Amino acid sequence: MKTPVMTKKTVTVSLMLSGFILLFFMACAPDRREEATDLLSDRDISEDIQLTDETIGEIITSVPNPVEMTVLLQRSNVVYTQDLLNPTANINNYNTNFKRSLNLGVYGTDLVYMNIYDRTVATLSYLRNVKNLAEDLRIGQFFDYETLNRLSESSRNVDSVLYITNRGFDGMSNYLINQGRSSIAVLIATGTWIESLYIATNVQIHPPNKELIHQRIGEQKVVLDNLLLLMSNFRNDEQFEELFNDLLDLKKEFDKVSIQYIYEERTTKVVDDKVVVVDNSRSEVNIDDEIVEGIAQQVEYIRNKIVE
Amino acid sequence: MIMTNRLFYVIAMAAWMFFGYSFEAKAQCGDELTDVCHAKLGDSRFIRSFPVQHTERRGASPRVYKFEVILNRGTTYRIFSCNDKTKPGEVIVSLYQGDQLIATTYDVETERFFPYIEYPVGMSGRYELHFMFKDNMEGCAVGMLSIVN
Repeated sequence: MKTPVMTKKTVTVSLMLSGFILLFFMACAPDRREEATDLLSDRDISEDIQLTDETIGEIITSVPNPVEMTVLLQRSNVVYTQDLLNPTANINNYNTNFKRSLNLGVYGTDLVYMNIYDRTVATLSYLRNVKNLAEDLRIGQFFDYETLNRLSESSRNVDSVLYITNRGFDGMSNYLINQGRSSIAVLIATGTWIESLYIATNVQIHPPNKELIHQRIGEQKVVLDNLLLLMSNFRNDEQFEELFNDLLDLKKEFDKVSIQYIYEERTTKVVDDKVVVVDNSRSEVNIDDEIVEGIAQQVEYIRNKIVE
Repeated sequence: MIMTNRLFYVIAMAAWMFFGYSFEAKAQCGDELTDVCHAKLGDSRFIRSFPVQHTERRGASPRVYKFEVILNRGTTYRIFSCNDKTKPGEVIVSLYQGDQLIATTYDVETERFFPYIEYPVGMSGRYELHFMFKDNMEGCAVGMLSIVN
Protein backbone atom coordinates (compact mmCIF):
# COMPACT_ATOMS: atom_id res chain seq x y z
CA MET A 1 0.00 0.00 0.00
CA LYS A 2 1.33 3.39 -0.93
CA THR A 3 2.03 5.64 2.04
CA PRO A 4 0.76 9.18 1.53
CA VAL A 5 3.56 11.73 1.68
CA MET A 6 2.91 15.45 2.07
CA THR A 7 5.26 17.25 -0.26
CA LYS A 8 6.11 20.94 0.09
CA LYS A 9 3.67 21.71 -2.73
CA THR A 10 0.77 19.80 -1.20
CA VAL A 11 1.39 21.44 2.18
CA THR A 12 1.24 24.86 0.53
CA VAL A 13 -1.95 23.97 -1.32
CA SER A 14 -3.45 22.58 1.88
CA LEU A 15 -2.61 25.71 3.81
CA MET A 16 -4.25 27.85 1.13
CA LEU A 17 -7.32 25.63 1.21
CA SER A 18 -7.38 25.92 5.01
CA GLY A 19 -7.34 29.67 4.64
CA PHE A 20 -10.26 29.55 2.22
CA ILE A 21 -12.22 27.26 4.54
CA LEU A 22 -11.51 29.59 7.42
CA LEU A 23 -12.69 32.58 5.41
CA PHE A 24 -15.75 30.61 4.34
CA PHE A 25 -16.65 29.84 7.99
CA MET A 26 -16.12 33.46 8.94
CA ALA A 27 -18.28 34.68 6.06
CA CYS A 28 -21.06 32.29 7.05
CA ALA A 29 -21.07 33.39 10.70
CA PRO A 30 -24.31 35.20 11.49
CA ASP A 31 -23.87 38.94 11.61
CA ARG A 32 -25.91 39.90 14.63
CA ARG A 33 -25.29 43.60 14.75
CA GLU A 34 -23.26 46.29 13.09
CA GLU A 35 -19.48 46.34 13.26
CA ALA A 36 -17.99 48.50 15.98
CA THR A 37 -17.57 52.07 14.88
CA ASP A 38 -14.55 52.74 17.07
CA LEU A 39 -11.10 51.19 17.29
CA LEU A 40 -11.14 50.60 21.03
CA SER A 41 -10.62 46.87 20.85
CA ASP A 42 -7.38 47.02 18.93
CA ARG A 43 -5.12 49.10 21.10
CA ASP A 44 -5.02 51.39 24.04
CA ILE A 45 -5.92 54.88 23.02
CA SER A 46 -3.73 56.91 25.30
CA GLU A 47 -0.42 58.15 24.01
CA ASP A 48 0.75 59.62 27.29
CA ILE A 49 0.09 56.64 29.53
CA GLN A 50 0.66 57.35 33.20
CA LEU A 51 -0.05 53.85 34.47
CA THR A 52 1.52 50.73 33.04
CA ASP A 53 -0.66 47.73 32.25
CA GLU A 54 0.97 46.00 35.20
CA THR A 55 -0.14 48.78 37.54
CA ILE A 56 -3.63 48.76 36.06
CA GLY A 57 -3.72 45.02 36.77
CA GLU A 58 -2.80 45.69 40.39
CA ILE A 59 -5.46 48.38 40.90
CA ILE A 60 -8.39 47.04 38.88
CA THR A 61 -8.89 44.19 41.35
CA SER A 62 -10.04 46.82 43.87
CA VAL A 63 -13.26 47.38 41.93
CA PRO A 64 -15.67 45.27 43.94
CA ASN A 65 -17.33 42.20 42.59
CA PRO A 66 -21.12 42.88 42.47
CA VAL A 67 -21.66 39.74 44.54
CA GLU A 68 -20.68 41.63 47.69
CA MET A 69 -23.22 44.45 47.33
CA THR A 70 -25.98 42.10 46.16
CA VAL A 71 -25.45 39.66 49.02
CA LEU A 72 -25.70 42.60 51.42
CA LEU A 73 -29.01 43.66 49.84
CA GLN A 74 -30.39 40.16 49.94
CA ARG A 75 -29.37 39.58 53.56
CA SER A 76 -30.95 42.91 54.44
CA ASN A 77 -34.28 41.61 53.11
CA VAL A 78 -34.36 44.11 50.26
CA VAL A 79 -36.98 43.06 47.73
CA TYR A 80 -35.87 42.02 44.23
CA THR A 81 -36.75 44.59 41.54
CA GLN A 82 -36.57 43.33 37.97
CA ASP A 83 -37.44 46.77 36.58
CA LEU A 84 -34.07 48.11 37.66
CA LEU A 85 -32.16 45.87 35.27
CA ASN A 86 -30.99 46.95 31.84
CA PRO A 87 -33.53 45.58 29.32
CA THR A 88 -31.92 42.92 27.16
CA ALA A 89 -33.23 44.50 23.93
CA ASN A 90 -30.93 47.46 24.54
CA ILE A 91 -28.01 45.37 23.26
CA ASN A 92 -28.93 46.39 19.73
CA ASN A 93 -27.95 49.98 20.59
CA TYR A 94 -24.38 49.11 21.47
CA ASN A 95 -22.40 49.56 18.30
CA THR A 96 -19.14 50.88 19.68
CA ASN A 97 -16.61 48.92 21.68
CA PHE A 98 -16.82 51.66 24.30
CA LYS A 99 -20.54 50.97 24.81
CA ARG A 100 -20.12 47.22 24.50
CA SER A 101 -17.44 47.13 27.18
CA LEU A 102 -19.45 49.21 29.64
CA ASN A 103 -22.61 47.21 29.06
CA LEU A 104 -20.80 43.90 29.33
CA GLY A 105 -20.13 45.02 32.90
CA VAL A 106 -23.73 46.17 33.33
CA TYR A 107 -25.26 42.91 32.11
CA GLY A 108 -22.71 40.94 34.16
CA THR A 109 -23.89 42.71 37.31
CA ASP A 110 -27.53 42.11 36.35
CA LEU A 111 -26.74 38.41 35.99
CA VAL A 112 -25.21 38.31 39.46
CA TYR A 113 -28.20 40.18 40.90
CA MET A 114 -30.69 37.77 39.33
CA ASN A 115 -28.78 34.71 40.45
CA ILE A 116 -28.33 35.79 44.04
CA TYR A 117 -32.07 36.41 44.21
CA ASP A 118 -32.71 32.92 42.80
CA ARG A 119 -33.98 34.17 39.45
CA THR A 120 -31.54 31.77 37.80
CA VAL A 121 -34.05 30.31 35.36
CA ALA A 122 -34.93 33.76 34.00
CA THR A 123 -31.31 34.67 33.21
CA LEU A 124 -31.12 33.12 29.74
CA SER A 125 -31.45 36.33 27.73
CA TYR A 126 -28.93 38.08 30.00
CA LEU A 127 -26.51 35.17 29.59
CA ARG A 128 -26.88 35.50 25.84
CA ASN A 129 -26.17 39.22 25.96
CA VAL A 130 -23.02 38.73 28.02
CA LYS A 131 -21.88 36.05 25.59
CA ASN A 132 -22.58 38.22 22.53
CA LEU A 133 -20.88 41.32 23.91
CA ALA A 134 -17.87 39.28 25.03
CA GLU A 135 -17.60 37.76 21.56
CA ASP A 136 -17.89 41.18 19.95
CA LEU A 137 -14.94 42.26 22.07
CA ARG A 138 -13.01 39.07 21.16
CA ILE A 139 -13.01 37.74 24.71
CA GLY A 140 -15.86 35.27 24.29
CA GLN A 141 -13.54 32.34 25.04
CA PHE A 142 -13.65 33.22 28.74
CA PHE A 143 -17.40 32.97 29.04
CA ASP A 144 -18.59 29.37 29.34
CA TYR A 145 -22.06 29.95 27.92
CA GLU A 146 -22.95 26.28 27.36
CA THR A 147 -22.23 25.29 30.95
CA LEU A 148 -23.96 28.36 32.35
CA ASN A 149 -26.97 27.78 30.15
CA ARG A 150 -27.24 24.21 31.42
CA LEU A 151 -26.69 25.11 35.07
CA SER A 152 -29.23 27.93 34.89
CA GLU A 153 -32.00 25.38 34.45
CA SER A 154 -32.07 24.95 38.20
CA SER A 155 -31.82 27.48 41.02
CA ARG A 156 -29.91 24.84 43.02
CA ASN A 157 -26.83 25.66 40.95
CA VAL A 158 -26.60 29.33 41.95
CA ASP A 159 -23.15 29.06 43.52
CA SER A 160 -21.74 27.25 40.48
CA VAL A 161 -23.31 29.80 38.12
CA LEU A 162 -21.86 32.67 40.12
CA TYR A 163 -18.45 31.02 40.27
CA ILE A 164 -18.28 30.38 36.51
CA THR A 165 -19.55 33.89 35.75
CA ASN A 166 -17.04 35.58 38.04
CA ARG A 167 -14.19 33.34 36.90
CA GLY A 168 -15.04 34.37 33.34
CA PHE A 169 -14.94 38.07 34.17
CA ASP A 170 -11.61 37.64 36.01
CA GLY A 171 -10.23 35.79 32.99
CA MET A 172 -11.39 38.52 30.61
CA SER A 173 -9.82 41.25 32.71
CA ASN A 174 -6.46 39.48 33.08
CA TYR A 175 -6.36 38.62 29.39
CA LEU A 176 -7.25 42.15 28.23
CA ILE A 177 -4.57 43.69 30.44
CA ASN A 178 -1.95 41.16 29.32
CA GLN A 179 -2.85 41.91 25.71
CA GLY A 180 -2.45 45.67 26.15
CA ARG A 181 -6.21 46.27 25.93
CA SER A 182 -6.53 47.68 29.43
CA SER A 183 -8.97 50.38 28.33
CA ILE A 184 -11.61 47.72 27.73
CA ALA A 185 -10.93 46.04 31.08
CA VAL A 186 -11.34 49.41 32.81
CA LEU A 187 -14.65 50.04 31.05
CA ILE A 188 -16.03 46.61 31.96
CA ALA A 189 -15.08 47.25 35.60
CA THR A 190 -16.70 50.69 35.47
CA GLY A 191 -19.94 49.31 34.01
CA THR A 192 -20.00 46.61 36.68
CA TRP A 193 -19.53 49.10 39.49
CA ILE A 194 -22.01 51.70 38.23
CA GLU A 195 -24.75 49.08 37.76
CA SER A 196 -24.14 47.66 41.21
CA LEU A 197 -24.34 51.13 42.75
CA TYR A 198 -27.40 51.97 40.65
CA ILE A 199 -29.25 48.94 42.02
CA ALA A 200 -28.16 49.67 45.60
CA THR A 201 -29.31 53.30 45.42
CA ASN A 202 -32.66 52.52 43.80
CA VAL A 203 -34.04 49.54 45.69
CA GLN A 204 -36.57 50.09 48.43
CA ILE A 205 -34.66 49.97 51.71
CA HIS A 206 -36.39 49.86 55.05
CA PRO A 207 -35.03 50.17 58.59
CA PRO A 208 -33.27 48.58 60.39
CA ASN A 209 -30.89 47.71 57.53
CA LYS A 210 -30.99 51.10 55.88
CA GLU A 211 -27.99 52.41 57.79
CA LEU A 212 -25.87 49.38 56.93
CA ILE A 213 -26.61 49.70 53.21
CA HIS A 214 -26.06 53.45 53.22
CA GLN A 215 -22.70 52.93 54.89
CA ARG A 216 -21.72 50.45 52.19
CA ILE A 217 -22.75 53.00 49.57
CA GLY A 218 -20.59 55.61 51.33
CA GLU A 219 -17.62 53.23 51.37
CA GLN A 220 -17.68 53.25 47.57
CA LYS A 221 -15.94 56.61 47.80
CA VAL A 222 -12.61 54.77 47.92
CA VAL A 223 -13.51 52.69 44.86
CA LEU A 224 -14.42 55.79 42.88
CA ASP A 225 -10.99 57.30 43.58
CA ASN A 226 -9.38 54.18 42.13
CA LEU A 227 -11.70 54.17 39.10
CA LEU A 228 -10.87 57.80 38.37
CA LEU A 229 -7.18 56.94 38.54
CA LEU A 230 -7.69 54.10 36.07
CA MET A 231 -9.90 56.17 33.77
CA SER A 232 -7.47 59.09 33.72
CA ASN A 233 -5.13 56.96 31.65
CA PHE A 234 -7.42 57.11 28.66
CA ARG A 235 -8.73 60.65 28.84
CA ASN A 236 -7.43 61.67 25.46
CA ASP A 237 -10.31 59.70 23.97
CA GLU A 238 -13.38 61.93 24.02
CA GLN A 239 -15.73 59.14 25.13
CA PHE A 240 -13.48 58.44 28.11
CA GLU A 241 -13.17 62.13 28.82
CA GLU A 242 -16.95 62.51 28.99
CA LEU A 243 -17.34 59.52 31.30
CA PHE A 244 -14.41 60.71 33.41
CA ASN A 245 -16.06 64.12 33.87
CA ASP A 246 -19.36 62.47 34.82
CA LEU A 247 -17.50 60.43 37.42
CA LEU A 248 -15.82 63.60 38.67
CA ASP A 249 -19.31 65.03 39.28
CA LEU A 250 -20.13 61.86 41.19
CA LYS A 251 -16.97 62.40 43.23
CA LYS A 252 -18.33 65.79 44.30
CA GLU A 253 -21.27 63.95 45.86
CA PHE A 254 -19.01 61.35 47.46
CA ASP A 255 -16.78 64.09 48.88
CA LYS A 256 -19.68 64.88 51.23
CA VAL A 257 -19.18 61.44 52.81
CA SER A 258 -16.65 61.40 55.63
CA ILE A 259 -14.97 58.22 56.77
CA GLN A 260 -13.14 58.02 60.09
CA TYR A 261 -10.49 55.39 60.64
CA ILE A 262 -9.70 54.25 64.15
CA TYR A 263 -6.51 52.21 64.23
CA GLU A 264 -5.96 49.60 66.93
CA GLU A 265 -3.43 46.82 67.00
CA ARG A 266 -4.50 43.72 65.11
CA THR A 267 -3.59 40.25 66.31
CA THR A 268 -3.69 36.84 64.69
CA LYS A 269 -4.31 33.39 66.08
CA VAL A 270 -4.30 29.93 64.56
CA VAL A 271 -7.69 28.22 64.73
CA ASP A 272 -8.19 24.82 63.09
CA ASP A 273 -5.13 25.33 60.89
CA LYS A 274 -6.42 28.75 59.75
CA VAL A 275 -4.80 32.10 60.46
CA VAL A 276 -7.63 34.16 61.93
CA VAL A 277 -7.20 37.91 62.24
CA VAL A 278 -8.65 39.65 65.27
CA ASP A 279 -9.38 43.15 64.02
CA ASN A 280 -9.74 45.80 66.68
CA SER A 281 -9.51 48.64 64.16
CA ARG A 282 -12.70 50.09 62.75
CA SER A 283 -14.03 52.59 60.28
CA GLU A 284 -17.06 54.80 60.66
CA VAL A 285 -18.91 56.22 57.67
CA ASN A 286 -20.84 59.44 58.08
CA ILE A 287 -23.54 59.65 55.44
CA ASP A 288 -27.13 60.90 55.61
CA ASP A 289 -30.21 60.53 53.39
CA GLU A 290 -29.50 63.75 51.53
CA ILE A 291 -26.00 62.63 50.55
CA VAL A 292 -27.31 59.22 49.46
CA GLU A 293 -29.92 60.99 47.32
CA GLY A 294 -27.25 63.15 45.69
CA ILE A 295 -25.15 60.07 44.92
CA ALA A 296 -28.20 58.22 43.63
CA GLN A 297 -29.13 61.00 41.20
CA GLN A 298 -25.66 61.26 39.71
CA VAL A 299 -25.31 57.46 39.48
CA GLU A 300 -28.65 57.27 37.68
CA TYR A 301 -27.55 59.99 35.26
CA ILE A 302 -24.33 58.13 34.40
CA ARG A 303 -26.02 54.75 34.25
CA ASN A 304 -28.72 55.98 31.90
CA LYS A 305 -26.11 57.39 29.55
CA ILE A 306 -24.30 54.05 29.59
CA VAL A 307 -27.32 51.87 28.83
CA GLU A 308 -29.24 54.15 26.44
CA MET B 1 -6.83 7.05 0.00
CA ILE B 2 -4.42 9.94 -0.60
CA MET B 3 -7.34 12.28 -1.19
CA THR B 4 -8.99 11.13 2.04
CA ASN B 5 -5.80 11.79 3.99
CA ARG B 6 -5.32 15.15 2.33
CA LEU B 7 -8.90 16.11 3.08
CA PHE B 8 -8.40 15.10 6.70
CA TYR B 9 -5.21 17.14 6.83
CA VAL B 10 -6.89 20.19 5.33
CA ILE B 11 -9.81 19.99 7.74
CA ALA B 12 -7.44 19.48 10.68
CA MET B 13 -5.40 22.52 9.64
CA ALA B 14 -8.54 24.62 9.22
CA ALA B 15 -9.78 23.52 12.63
CA TRP B 16 -6.40 24.35 14.17
CA MET B 17 -6.42 27.80 12.57
CA PHE B 18 -10.01 28.35 13.57
CA PHE B 19 -9.90 27.17 17.16
CA GLY B 20 -6.20 27.37 17.97
CA TYR B 21 -6.24 31.01 19.00
CA SER B 22 -8.99 30.69 21.54
CA PHE B 23 -7.47 27.51 22.98
CA GLU B 24 -4.14 29.22 23.45
CA ALA B 25 -5.84 32.12 25.20
CA LYS B 26 -7.62 29.73 27.56
CA ALA B 27 -4.58 27.69 28.43
CA GLN B 28 -2.80 30.39 30.40
CA CYS B 29 -1.40 29.62 33.82
CA GLY B 30 -4.07 29.66 36.44
CA ASP B 31 -7.23 28.60 34.62
CA GLU B 32 -7.15 24.93 35.58
CA LEU B 33 -5.81 25.81 39.01
CA THR B 34 -8.72 28.15 39.60
CA ASP B 35 -11.11 25.23 39.16
CA VAL B 36 -9.00 23.07 41.48
CA CYS B 37 -8.97 25.85 44.05
CA HIS B 38 -12.72 26.27 43.74
CA ALA B 39 -13.09 23.00 45.64
CA LYS B 40 -11.45 24.65 48.67
CA LEU B 41 -14.14 27.33 48.97
CA GLY B 42 -16.05 25.31 51.54
CA ASP B 43 -18.81 27.41 53.09
CA SER B 44 -17.55 30.62 51.48
CA ARG B 45 -18.63 32.39 48.29
CA PHE B 46 -16.12 33.10 45.51
CA ILE B 47 -15.28 36.75 44.91
CA ARG B 48 -12.08 36.95 42.88
CA SER B 49 -9.11 34.92 41.67
CA PHE B 50 -5.52 36.10 41.34
CA PRO B 51 -3.41 34.00 38.97
CA VAL B 52 0.33 34.44 39.44
CA GLN B 53 3.09 32.98 37.30
CA HIS B 54 6.67 33.35 38.43
CA THR B 55 9.87 32.60 36.56
CA GLU B 56 12.93 31.92 38.65
CA ARG B 57 15.54 34.61 38.23
CA ARG B 58 18.87 33.54 39.70
CA GLY B 59 20.47 36.25 41.80
CA ALA B 60 17.51 38.57 41.48
CA SER B 61 15.61 39.76 44.52
CA PRO B 62 12.32 37.88 45.03
CA ARG B 63 9.47 39.41 43.09
CA VAL B 64 6.27 40.31 44.91
CA TYR B 65 3.03 40.30 42.90
CA LYS B 66 0.58 42.81 44.36
CA PHE B 67 -3.16 43.24 43.98
CA GLU B 68 -5.27 45.89 45.64
CA VAL B 69 -8.61 44.88 47.13
CA ILE B 70 -11.31 46.81 48.97
CA LEU B 71 -12.52 44.94 52.04
CA ASN B 72 -15.71 45.91 53.81
CA ARG B 73 -16.44 46.21 57.49
CA GLY B 74 -18.79 43.55 58.80
CA THR B 75 -17.74 40.98 56.20
CA THR B 76 -15.54 37.95 56.90
CA TYR B 77 -13.16 37.24 54.05
CA ARG B 78 -11.25 34.05 53.36
CA ILE B 79 -7.96 34.16 51.51
CA PHE B 80 -6.27 31.02 50.22
CA SER B 81 -4.22 29.72 47.32
CA CYS B 82 -3.33 26.67 45.26
CA ASN B 83 0.01 25.77 43.68
CA ASP B 84 0.66 24.15 40.35
CA LYS B 85 2.22 20.87 41.53
CA THR B 86 4.26 20.50 38.34
CA LYS B 87 6.36 23.50 39.38
CA PRO B 88 8.66 23.66 42.41
CA GLY B 89 7.52 27.03 43.75
CA GLU B 90 5.14 27.36 46.69
CA VAL B 91 3.31 30.63 46.95
CA ILE B 92 3.17 32.70 50.13
CA VAL B 93 0.14 34.98 50.41
CA SER B 94 0.25 38.01 52.69
CA LEU B 95 -2.39 40.60 53.50
CA TYR B 96 -1.26 44.18 54.00
CA GLN B 97 -2.86 47.49 54.83
CA GLY B 98 -0.41 50.13 53.71
CA ASP B 99 2.96 48.96 55.03
CA GLN B 100 1.42 46.96 57.84
CA LEU B 101 1.43 43.19 57.52
CA ILE B 102 -1.87 41.86 58.83
CA ALA B 103 -1.51 38.14 58.17
CA THR B 104 0.44 35.68 56.06
CA THR B 105 0.07 32.05 55.04
CA TYR B 106 3.72 31.27 55.90
CA ASP B 107 5.45 31.39 59.26
CA VAL B 108 9.15 31.97 58.65
CA GLU B 109 10.19 30.82 62.13
CA THR B 110 8.47 27.44 62.03
CA GLU B 111 8.63 27.18 58.20
CA ARG B 112 4.96 26.23 58.30
CA PHE B 113 2.36 26.96 55.63
CA PHE B 114 -1.24 27.69 56.61
CA PRO B 115 -4.01 26.91 54.13
CA TYR B 116 -6.28 29.87 54.92
CA ILE B 117 -6.39 33.40 56.26
CA GLU B 118 -9.74 34.37 57.68
CA TYR B 119 -10.39 38.04 58.28
CA PRO B 120 -13.50 39.49 59.89
CA VAL B 121 -12.99 43.08 58.77
CA GLY B 122 -13.44 45.91 61.26
CA MET B 123 -12.03 48.66 59.07
CA SER B 124 -13.30 49.11 55.53
CA GLY B 125 -10.82 50.29 52.97
CA ARG B 126 -7.88 49.50 50.75
CA TYR B 127 -5.82 46.39 51.40
CA GLU B 128 -3.18 44.63 49.36
CA LEU B 129 -2.64 40.98 48.67
CA HIS B 130 1.01 40.12 48.13
CA PHE B 131 2.09 36.90 46.45
CA MET B 132 5.66 35.66 46.42
CA PHE B 133 7.22 32.27 45.91
CA LYS B 134 9.24 30.67 48.68
CA ASP B 135 12.99 30.74 47.92
CA ASN B 136 12.22 32.61 44.69
CA MET B 137 11.48 29.29 42.96
CA GLU B 138 9.65 29.07 39.65
CA GLY B 139 5.97 28.62 40.23
CA CYS B 140 2.41 29.04 39.17
CA ALA B 141 -0.37 29.65 41.65
CA VAL B 142 -3.79 31.11 42.01
CA GLY B 143 -4.96 33.06 45.01
CA MET B 144 -8.61 33.31 45.93
CA LEU B 145 -10.69 35.78 47.85
CA SER B 146 -14.07 34.67 49.12
CA ILE B 147 -16.65 35.78 51.65
CA VAL B 148 -17.70 33.45 54.42
CA ASN B 149 -21.45 32.82 54.39
